Amino acid sequence: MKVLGISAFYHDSAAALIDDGEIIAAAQEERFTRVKHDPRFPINAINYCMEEAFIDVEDLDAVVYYDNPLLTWDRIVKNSLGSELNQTEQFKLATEAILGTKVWLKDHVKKALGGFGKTGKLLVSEHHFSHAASAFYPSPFSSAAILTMDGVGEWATTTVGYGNDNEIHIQKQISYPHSLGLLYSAFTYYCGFKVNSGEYKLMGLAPYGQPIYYDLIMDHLVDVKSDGSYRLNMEYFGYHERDVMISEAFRSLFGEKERAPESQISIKQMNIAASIQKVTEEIVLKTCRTLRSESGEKNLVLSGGVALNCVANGKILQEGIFDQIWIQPASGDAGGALGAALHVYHNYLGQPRVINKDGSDQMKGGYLGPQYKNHEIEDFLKKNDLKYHVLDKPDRSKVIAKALSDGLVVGYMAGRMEFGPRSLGGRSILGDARSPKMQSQINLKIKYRESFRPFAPSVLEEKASEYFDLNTTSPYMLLVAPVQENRRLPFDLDVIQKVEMIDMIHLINEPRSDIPAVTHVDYSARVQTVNKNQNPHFHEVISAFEELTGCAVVVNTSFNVRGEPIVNTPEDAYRCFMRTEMDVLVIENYILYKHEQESVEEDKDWRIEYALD
Amino acid sequence: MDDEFASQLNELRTTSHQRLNEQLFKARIQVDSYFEIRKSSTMSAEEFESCDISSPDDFRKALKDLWQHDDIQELSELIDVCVEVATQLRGDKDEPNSIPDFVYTMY
Repeated sequence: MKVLGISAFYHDSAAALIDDGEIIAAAQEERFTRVKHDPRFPINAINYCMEEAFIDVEDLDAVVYYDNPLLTWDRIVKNSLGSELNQTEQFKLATEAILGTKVWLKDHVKKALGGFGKTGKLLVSEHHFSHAASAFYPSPFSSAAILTMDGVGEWATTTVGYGNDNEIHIQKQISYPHSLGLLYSAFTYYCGFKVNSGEYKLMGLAPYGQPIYYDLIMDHLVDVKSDGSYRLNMEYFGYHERDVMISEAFRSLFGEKERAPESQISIKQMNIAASIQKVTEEIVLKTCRTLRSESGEKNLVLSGGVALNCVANGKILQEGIFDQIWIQPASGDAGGALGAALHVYHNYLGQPRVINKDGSDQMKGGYLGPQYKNHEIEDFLKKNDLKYHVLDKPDRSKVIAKALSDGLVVGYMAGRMEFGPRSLGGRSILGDARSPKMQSQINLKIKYRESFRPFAPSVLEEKASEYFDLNTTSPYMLLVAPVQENRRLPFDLDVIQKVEMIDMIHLINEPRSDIPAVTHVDYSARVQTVNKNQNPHFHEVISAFEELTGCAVVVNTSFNVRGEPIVNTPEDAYRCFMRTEMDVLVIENYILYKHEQESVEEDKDWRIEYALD
Repeated sequence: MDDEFASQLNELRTTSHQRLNEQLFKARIQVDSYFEIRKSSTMSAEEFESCDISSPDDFRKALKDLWQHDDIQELSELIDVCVEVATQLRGDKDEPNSIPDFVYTMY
């Protein structure tokens, strides 16, 4: 049975296709339209999924949308009636979005597909059921506790439940406006980052600070019960009434206005980031303990935007509350398309679940997007008269490893594109993790972004424990783990608190381990373990790098510039390569060197093409 | 926004504002837990099919199913005007390629 899942009209629209429970394809619309977080109906992603499966709409058994617009409308009306401000501009916009677009979902699907599959109906899966399904069904567990946390779905913002065989159950929830995701977003905004995309920057900033505002937040902003449930004090927020995240009371509480975007980051903002991170971790850990005790389950699965907080995920693991945890790599709304399809397949259509006997999950390493064949790539290279070299096995890995060991930055495109926000060796920028300058080099010359954020290490799975204190695999870069103590170099983090203004570049360039480019100031790292079977080509590259240098770790960051969606096609990859100071581009079996390319004249400044995220 | 819609909302606000305000926004309630127990832990077939809406009549029925047993009984009075507004707005605009930063919580 074939089911198409769709998420759209919110953030990060996407499509996913499953066939007899197997995930065939999944992709975000932004990768095709080149508009970051594109919310439009994902016609390109749908077409890709259908092409990948070689099917037409008549072959589909069901089409499902990842959210219930009626319940969202119920929330919007009740929120408007209950809030102090009546029928604001925000309410009018929401009315247009729900009553003008989402209620008429069938029109969009009909226009795109011409039908609704064999059921003849457009189905919906509630937002958090979609998240829960995306967490449980692809996991390697036959049963597990389920935790979903995000900004808001229809009403729910946090849900707890369990999955067993082909069933999922959501038993309890926290409802809007009380939301851990929105609490974190409020601080994201206050610290000068963009809501709904800059949350990971706040998480990256937190290790620089001390959680000195923890009590202030707990005393005024959020009431947390012993079971992890919570309620916000809405006097400090504004998102429930109009187009602001926080109220004047919030500003007064912290004693100053919000940081202007792109302005210098202060020690206070670092301390605020550390404080809200601590609050978040406390809520997540308390909820996990309750869930473990009430469900009796030994395994936990997670999804929803908050599940992308890999520092909190690492704490769940460290605390040992559950024996094993599994996190959906596409935990944001894009992953809802996949979850909705799986939910319909197992619960509406009543189909059985298959679990991999080798203990692996069903996500295929997250490589669920388009792939380009060598002849397609060569056609592109020739058509554009580009200078390239062919890399044949076994030289391919050695040549790439040599470039990395020479300190060059490599754009790497191989195999299927990743589904979800992380680049996992399908569309990645790679560098030498041993280089103390690599972090600032990639940040300033290639990514064009703030320099305080650390890069992630990709490490051979079998060598991970030599570098990181991690007792499990982390194929999706969703767990933070400490760098092994014997690799650390002395570094006084307290120095940050003793000066008026921090020289971030100097701080970043201060080596903290023998893999400094991927070691954060608190010696943590956002680890990707690379499995030989899941991504053999990437594994070969890191293995060759290890053979050459003795180091089984490379820097891995997403193949894009700031504000740009991750590259999809060879053309996207070449454009990004030429616009930045990247040294080498590898596309499958082809390698291009920057010094051999003719410079590209552009008629406009591409840096304004992408809105800063 | 449609005048009649605005007017009916205002009318409903006079009877429901206090209840909803307390229910949604009141801070630090004396309870052991803020978790709400769901009426059902799974979705029924009807719930999966609840947004299979092709016509204004389908939408009217869907809203009736949604609100007929709601605590706020007066919500049913909004159904006709909601259907009217939805019919007017149907296919009205091109889709924007982004959502304003701070209104996403309302969509």
